[in-house]
Order: sequence, then structure tokens, then C-alpha cells
Amino acid sequence: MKKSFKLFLAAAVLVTEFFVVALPLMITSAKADGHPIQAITHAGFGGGTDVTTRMMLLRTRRYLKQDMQLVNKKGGGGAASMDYMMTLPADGQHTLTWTTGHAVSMALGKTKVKLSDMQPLARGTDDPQLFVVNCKNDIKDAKKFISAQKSKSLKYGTTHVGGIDDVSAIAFTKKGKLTDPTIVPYKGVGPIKTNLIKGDIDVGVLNLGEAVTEIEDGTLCVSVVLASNRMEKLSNVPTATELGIPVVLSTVRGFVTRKGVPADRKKQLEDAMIKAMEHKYFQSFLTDIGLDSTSVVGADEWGKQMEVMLAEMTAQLKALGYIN
Amino acid sequence: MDNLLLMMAPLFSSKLLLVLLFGTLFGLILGVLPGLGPTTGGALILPFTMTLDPLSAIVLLTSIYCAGTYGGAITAVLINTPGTPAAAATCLDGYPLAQKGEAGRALGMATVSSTVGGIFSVVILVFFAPILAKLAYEFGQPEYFALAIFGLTMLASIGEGSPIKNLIAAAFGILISTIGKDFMTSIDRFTYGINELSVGIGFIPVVVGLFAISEMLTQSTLLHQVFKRVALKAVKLPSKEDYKKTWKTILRSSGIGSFIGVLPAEGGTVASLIGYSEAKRFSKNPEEFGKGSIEGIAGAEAANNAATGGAMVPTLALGIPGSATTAVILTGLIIHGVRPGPDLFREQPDFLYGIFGAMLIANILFFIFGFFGAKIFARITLVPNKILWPMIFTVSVCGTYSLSQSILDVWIMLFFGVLGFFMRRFGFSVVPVIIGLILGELVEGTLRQSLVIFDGNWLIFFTRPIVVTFFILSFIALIFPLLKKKK
Repeated sequence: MKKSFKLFLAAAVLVTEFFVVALPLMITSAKADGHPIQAITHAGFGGGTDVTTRMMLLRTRRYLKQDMQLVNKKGGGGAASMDYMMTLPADGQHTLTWTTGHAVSMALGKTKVKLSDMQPLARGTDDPQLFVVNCKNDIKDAKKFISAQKSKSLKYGTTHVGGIDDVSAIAFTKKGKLTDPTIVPYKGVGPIKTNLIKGDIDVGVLNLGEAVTEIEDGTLCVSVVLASNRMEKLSNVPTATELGIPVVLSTVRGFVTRKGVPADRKKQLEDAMIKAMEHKYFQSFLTDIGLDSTSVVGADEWGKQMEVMLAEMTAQLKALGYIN
Repeated sequence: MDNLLLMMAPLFSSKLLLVLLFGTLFGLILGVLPGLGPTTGGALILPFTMTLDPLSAIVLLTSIYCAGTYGGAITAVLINTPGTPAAAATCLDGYPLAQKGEAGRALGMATVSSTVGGIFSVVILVFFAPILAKLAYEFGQPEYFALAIFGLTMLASIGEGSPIKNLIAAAFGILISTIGKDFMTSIDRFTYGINELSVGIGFIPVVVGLFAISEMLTQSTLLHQVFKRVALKAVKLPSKEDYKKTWKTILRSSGIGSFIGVLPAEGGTVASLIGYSEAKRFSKNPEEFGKGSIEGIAGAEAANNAATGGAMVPTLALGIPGSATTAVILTGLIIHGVRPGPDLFREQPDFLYGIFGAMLIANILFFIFGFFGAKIFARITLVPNKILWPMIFTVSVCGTYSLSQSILDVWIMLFFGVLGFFMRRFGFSVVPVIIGLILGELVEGTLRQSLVIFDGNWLIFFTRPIVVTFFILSFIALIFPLLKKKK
């Protein structure tokens, strides 16, 4: 074998080993001492939950002076991620991103994990549900929206079913004593917007960040906001409560850890997260998706909201017939 | 002008340039290695692209695609073994010319015609983009349903495998796509209580299994194979006389390749064969074909590289892959949260023109690497299969596992690897399984959504012009192979 070929072979082995060893290590960013904190999520790459978690990690790992590794455990609408967390020791070396979807999974009984098995740390985003319509449609005016749904069924585009989106549509309809909606589930928000613009559906149940481009260019309009107060960016849009229909629902993402984590460690995690989410990086991320600094709250408020969310989702899913 | 600036964006980003350089080099190496190629290589690197932003990830995959398609010509000329199936036609004249001591001239022509073909097809892609962007709002759920049906029926006329076998494989892919939580009813299907399966079978384990692992198993049966290499001093740019002889062929094949690439489910292999046969038909010296005709090399190589840009048109615009490699690229788009379709042209023009620009640059880069480095790349074929494939196996396992740290994904990959091996053995193409898996979800979802939106009225599928057009095209695609058989 010639020397040049031997050299080439050695280089080829090195390059391959880079893929085999170095790259996976870069992906997991594991620390040499072997103790990164696991930040568990249930979400796909690039989605709202994934991005929120990554934005939180940016500074938290710096404040904790410890690396944090994103661990993706998909399945069961968050059930797999909660089950996975329960397999870890309660040593404060993990966090879980808990969302409205987890509340739904718990309500549906997809996991044996209970709220009492977790300790809240902090909330990252509180994104109100919006009813978005085509600006060419008369129902962009909230009052006309309600009177239209009194006389006929409106077609609501939602992301999946059995989640916060169709719960929003049904709760609004029931409490407003309106005609039952026709729910058209989609796998993502893209086709909801296209179908709204084409006029195939009447309403899209979306968050502001999901339609901010079309809202700003005047293609889509927000008719109703399901928040307790008007949103800063949508100051001319009434809330459902203002219209006499008391429905307040939002897509919420926060962080928890296992029960049993020592109090001082839990406090350390909470403080670092709050500080990280008060940093300009996270704050500008919130602004980009149409939210503000009120999204970020500490463990006490977040814990209470988790309980309310679970109770609310259980009640709504019962009303919808998903559970007995 | 704005679009031109967007296309040039990769030139001004050191990260994208680095990705392009790496992708082109990696693609060339993959193209040179018989059995690997851009499809397997793309599938292998797919899990690792998750660390990149979507544009960098797709630029990496497309540069591998462009360079890998060209790389196949190097081994076709020097060892009479096409590095990729698309270079099969290049063997016919490339190797005889190399045996005459003109390997440098053969590779020079292959390099120039591949580059011209590749650039030509990117221009076609840029031309199509604004037209497709205008279609974006015309596509509702019924249109997507008809489009997905069209994509599936195109499998009947795909080059590799019989129409019936392709349709069976696609039906199997559709069946797999039903595993997981049904987004219309929220009910788990075929998950058997395994929470991890409720999100469905991941694309990456299936793609890596069907392409990389099944190829490894196939290669394990060919360990005795020894390649004889023709000596190469240096790659030579074609002479004035060669240009004079081939420029019409290069242009013709570029057109043919771009057109065939655009047809969903066709690709470089069919393009190069047609490009080659048309070159022979129009040649003044058809008797030279098969004995070392420079026109034969130009005809095949310009066509297969032109098919790369062409194949990206249905992939990006309709979400239907134009070839096996674009099926992998489509998977890359989906896992990065990019939904291909007319909307993409409206919503993310910067992303799209970034890809077009990257493809243009990749074509120039492989020209440089090919011209100066063909001699080095040719040596890669000397890496014994016994060393190469175990490495690929390790990369496949690590890559698949690292995505979700899920051992279930690794089992799924291995299952599909064994399945792919047997499918190939029994004359089935594995590409329709991937296409079925991708389009199955679209077919089922859009049909049910359409019926909900239009209150169960089936007539909606016969009153919308785009839907009717796709149905007519689907019918033609289904009966075309039968008519061809009768002839």
C-alpha cells in the first residue's frame, strides 16, 4: 500500500470518527464532568415550545454556571416527557417544559403523573388565543362575528383536536349560546391561514405570533381576543369578556421539576430562569411573538395557573365528550 | 433584482459558504463511492442537520445532491462503475475513452457539461418560482388532496421497478403514515400503548434504514468485488474542437434533464439515459457512441445534473419529490418545520432564493473541485467495503439515536434496513415507501378536511379547476405505463 493512500485512509477514518464521536457530543453539548442539566421537552424542533425552551436555556445555563442539555421526549402529547422525568432522581438536574398540551394529556389520563408529582419553577410565555378572520369578511367586527354565529355554524380552523384550540372555540360558543361550530382540524397553522385567505373556512384559532405577518399586512384581522385584558399590539380588538362571553384561554409554557428536589436547589433553578427570562434576549423574543414581560412569572403564580389550567381543561374535555 | 440579491446571500455568509464547501466535498466523496451516492449520504447526514438552522441544513443537502450527482461520473469514467445510478449512461463512453488513454479529456467534458447542466437547471428553477408563488392562494385542501393523488400515481411510471410493485410499496408507505395520533379525532392508531409511537413513525429512521442500512446489507454481499482503475494524469478542459462538437448536445441535454427533473418521481437516472440517447440520435457520428464518444459523455452528464434543479421544482413547489435524493431533501424540509408547497414561495422567498443561490454556487464549486481534485477523489474507491460500511453503520445508529435519544428509533431504522434489503432483492424500489409515507398523511388529512369544510359534499372535487386538472393528470399517469407496454 502506498504511503499517500495510507495517509488518505487515516484521514477518512478521522473524518468518519468526527461524525461518530465528536458531532453527537456537540449536539448534546455534554460537559466533560458528565453533569449537564436535562431540559426535557415534548415538542418538535422549531415549534413554539422548542423555541421557548431554547431561549430560556440561553442565559439560564450561564447563571447556573452549569451546562443544560435539551432532551426531546416526544409522544402522548407530553405524557412521554412527564413519564421520562419521573424516571430521573429528584436531584435538581432536570427541568421539564410544561404546557397546555400536558394539561390535556393529564386530563385525558395518558399518564399517571399528577400535578403533585411536580414542582413549578417559572412561566415563560402566556399567549392568548385569538379568533382570526379574513379582513374582507364582515365578521372581522366582533359584534357581527357573534351575530353571524347566532344564525349559522361558523367553520373554525384549529391545530389538532382535543387541545386548547377547539376548547377555545367550543367554550366561546357554549358560553355565548351560539350555534355549534364546525371544527376543521389542521396539522399546523400554515394551511389554516391559506384556507382563511382563500375563504374556505371562517375563523382561525391562532396565537398572535403565528399570524403577525398577515395581520400587519392587512390580509388577516383579529376579531376576538380570549384574554382578560386587551393586548398591547391589538388595542382595538375587544376581549371575549368585554363582549359578555367570559372565556379566558391561552397557550401557556412554563417550567417544572420533580417533587422532592431540595428546596435550595429548586430556588436556585427558579432564580436563574427568572433572571434569564428577564434578559433582553428573552424579552425581545417575547416582543417578536407579540407578547410582553408579563408572560414571565415565578413559581407561586405559575403553580396556581397550572392547577387552574388542569381543572379548566378537564372540565372542557368533559363537556366536549372526550372524557367521562 | 431583489431575488438576485437573495440568491447571492450565501456568498455573504461565512457559515453558509462553509456549509456549501463541506456539502460539495462530502457530496463528491459520496458520488465517487459506488453504492453510496447523494441519496444514501443525504439520509446519513439528515439527523446531524438538526444542529443547523433550516437554510443551512437544506443548503447542505442540496450541495450534496449537486456534487454527488456529478461525482458519480468520476468512477464511471475511471473504473467503469457508476458512483451513482444517474452516471450509468456516462460509463458507456467515458470508460472506453479512458481506456484509449484519454481519461483526462473524458472527465474534463463530464465536469464542464455537468456544470452547465446544473446551472441551466437552477435558472429554470428561478424562472418557475414567481409563477408558482402566484398559485399559493389557489391551493386549498381539495387541491392538496388532488396533488397528493397525482404524486402517488406518478409512482406508476417511475423509472426503477415495475408500476405495480411501486404502487404496492407506496401503499405500504401510506399504511405506515397512519401510525400515531390521528390529528382529526385525537385517537391513537396502531400505537399499542407505546406513547412514543403516538407522534407517528419518524421520517429519519425510515429514510436512514431504507437507504443506508439496506445498501450496507446489499454491499455485504459484494465484498469480493475488486475495481480496476484506469490511470489518470490530470483533468483536461475540453478543446475548442470538443466544444464545437458538443455545445448543442450540452444545451439539448440540459433542457431534457431540467424537464425530466421537473416531472415528479422521475430523476437523474432517466434524464441521463434520455439525454444520452437523444445525443446519439442528433449526432453526426452515431457510430462512435459506445466506443468513447465525447458527445455521449456530454449528453449524459449535462442531463443528469440538469435534473437536480428540475427535481427541486416539484419538491419545493408541490411537496412531491422529483427523485430519491429530493425525497430525502423533502424529509429535511419537513423535520425543519418548513412546509413545502406554493405557500413557501410566497411566505419565505429569502429561504428559497438562498437555496437557489447555494445550488448555483455548488455547481461552480464542484467544477473547481472536480477539475483539480478528480485524481484524489478517484483514490477514495480504494477504501475497502469492509472498512467503509461498518463506519456508515455506526454513523447511522448514532445519527438516528441522537435525534430524540430514542432507542425505539434505532429499532425502527434497523427494521426498515432489513425490509429495504429484501425489497431490493425482490425488485421493489424503496423510494415509493418514502413518498407514500410523506404523501399518505397529506392524502388522508386533506380528504377528510375537505369533506368537513364542504359539509361532506364530494362534488367539490369535480368543480374546482385545479383539482380536476390534477385528476386528469393522475389518470394519464396511471394509464401511461399500460399504453407503453402495449406498444
